[in-house]
Amino acid sequence: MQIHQHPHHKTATEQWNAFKNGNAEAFESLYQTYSAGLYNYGSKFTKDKDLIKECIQDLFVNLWIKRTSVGKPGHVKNYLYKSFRHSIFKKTFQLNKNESYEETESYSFQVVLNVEEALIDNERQLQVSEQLQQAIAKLTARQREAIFLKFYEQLSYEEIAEVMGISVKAGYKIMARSLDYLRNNLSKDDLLLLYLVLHLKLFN
Amino acid sequence: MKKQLSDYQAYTLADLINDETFILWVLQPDENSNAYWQNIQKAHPALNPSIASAREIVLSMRFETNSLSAPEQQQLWQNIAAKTVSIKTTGKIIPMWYRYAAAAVVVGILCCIGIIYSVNQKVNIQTPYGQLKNITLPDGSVVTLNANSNIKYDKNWDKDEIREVWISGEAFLKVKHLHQTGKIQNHERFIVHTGAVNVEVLGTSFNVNDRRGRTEVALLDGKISLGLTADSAKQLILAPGDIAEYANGKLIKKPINVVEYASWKDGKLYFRNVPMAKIFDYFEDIYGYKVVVDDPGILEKRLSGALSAKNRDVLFKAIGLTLNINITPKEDSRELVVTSK
Repeated sequence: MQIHQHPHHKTATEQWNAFKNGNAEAFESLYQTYSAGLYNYGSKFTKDKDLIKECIQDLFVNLWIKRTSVGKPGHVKNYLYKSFRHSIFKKTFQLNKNESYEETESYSFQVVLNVEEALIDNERQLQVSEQLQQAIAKLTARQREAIFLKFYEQLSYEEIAEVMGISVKAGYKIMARSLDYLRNNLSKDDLLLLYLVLHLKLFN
Repeated sequence: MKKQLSDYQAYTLADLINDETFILWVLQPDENSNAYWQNIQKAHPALNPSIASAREIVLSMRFETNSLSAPEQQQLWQNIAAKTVSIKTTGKIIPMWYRYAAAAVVVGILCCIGIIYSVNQKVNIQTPYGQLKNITLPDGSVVTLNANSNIKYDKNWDKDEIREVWISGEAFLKVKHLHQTGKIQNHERFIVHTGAVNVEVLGTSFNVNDRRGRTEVALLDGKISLGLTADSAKQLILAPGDIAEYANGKLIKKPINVVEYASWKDGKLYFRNVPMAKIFDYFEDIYGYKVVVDDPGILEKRLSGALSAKNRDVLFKAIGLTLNINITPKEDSRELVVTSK
């Protein structure tokens, strides 16, 4: 579950400034606020738990080392997600030395839509969730990632563009294409359920 | 925008699901929302069935979230803190008795190692029914051994010899990558032997299942090559996401979702349209029961979904509910009795 409130009722910017001044508590609360979300984001790129943990560790260690020189990003979360994503790509690339690293479509981004096990007895739900899963699986990794960032992490198009290293216009395009695809390939009921799954995250 | 009570009269299931206040109430009820929706239910009793199904749907659909356990998250923070904000422990004095205690423990451990070492040069680990085990190999590679499985390997691994393990049953392996550049040295190779198949890897994670005369290898990361014990000239190269199956003397690649093949190690089972016959085979292997079915039709039913495998009885119950069957373990005869409801 995402927790979008900060402990100590400090704003993200205040927290960020305290951290820049070398406040250890502020640094720890940055970790507590963002580590779970980062881990979840990372797990969509790779199944290698240790690699994700390593990237989180590197991200925060580097952040601390460079704390005086890192600028004042308008959105802390954005900044962290962008660096983290870069680190995941770099590490995955290092692990497969024989493959060349290109920031292209050729990466994996897997999301799973789940049916809660307690209510698994409804056959219709199984069927629907499978259909949704199939439709989502047919999207490109880029499209899935954009959907994830938009609906799950609630980033704006500007933020998505920054994290994924694309233009804002391209971000809009990716989203429009994926939603078009889903609209054309799902029945009205299923589409409704898909929106529900996506929107649920706004509250969960 | 506040809705009027009468607005809800014509509400359908779809309207409810699309209503954010409804979703909020289901997921995070509080006094206000409880009162609000109770009011609506009182005013429009005809809406109750729709509300019940909408609740069920809302509660049951979600994105899968991957998360670290609280201790893991804490440990990770400790690692970070140690490299950043933690104050160095300089010149801390260790009490004298503590040093003796430490020395005694070290001596104790050395003795144990000495005894094991002199008696047994091979390690042989067998898991009982219903229990997993994590094993760290001499090179730091990690093996998760599923229930009712066995692994053998040499206690000591020579600096310039191939790393080798022998596995029967099912295991998930995360092999430490030692090869950097240049020609591949012997000690950088890692071979898993099963009944009929040898799996050769450099550094990767994959799942091996060797049961019922059939071997299955599913690759999650890296690259591995498979060869038959009988005919080592024939090699099959697997890429991430591939699954290879050896049965009836043939080695073939199958395109399937790999994640579900290794989900058992995290205490979960993923099924996508899997026939019950296959799932019962799995239960026989893992829990050691003989499955007895009163209606062969049950074996053809198919199951999809994610289930927690941490609690056996809950697992049986959930599957029973799904397929409208009863699954009852009989401890005295070691049978799993499956009947239609």
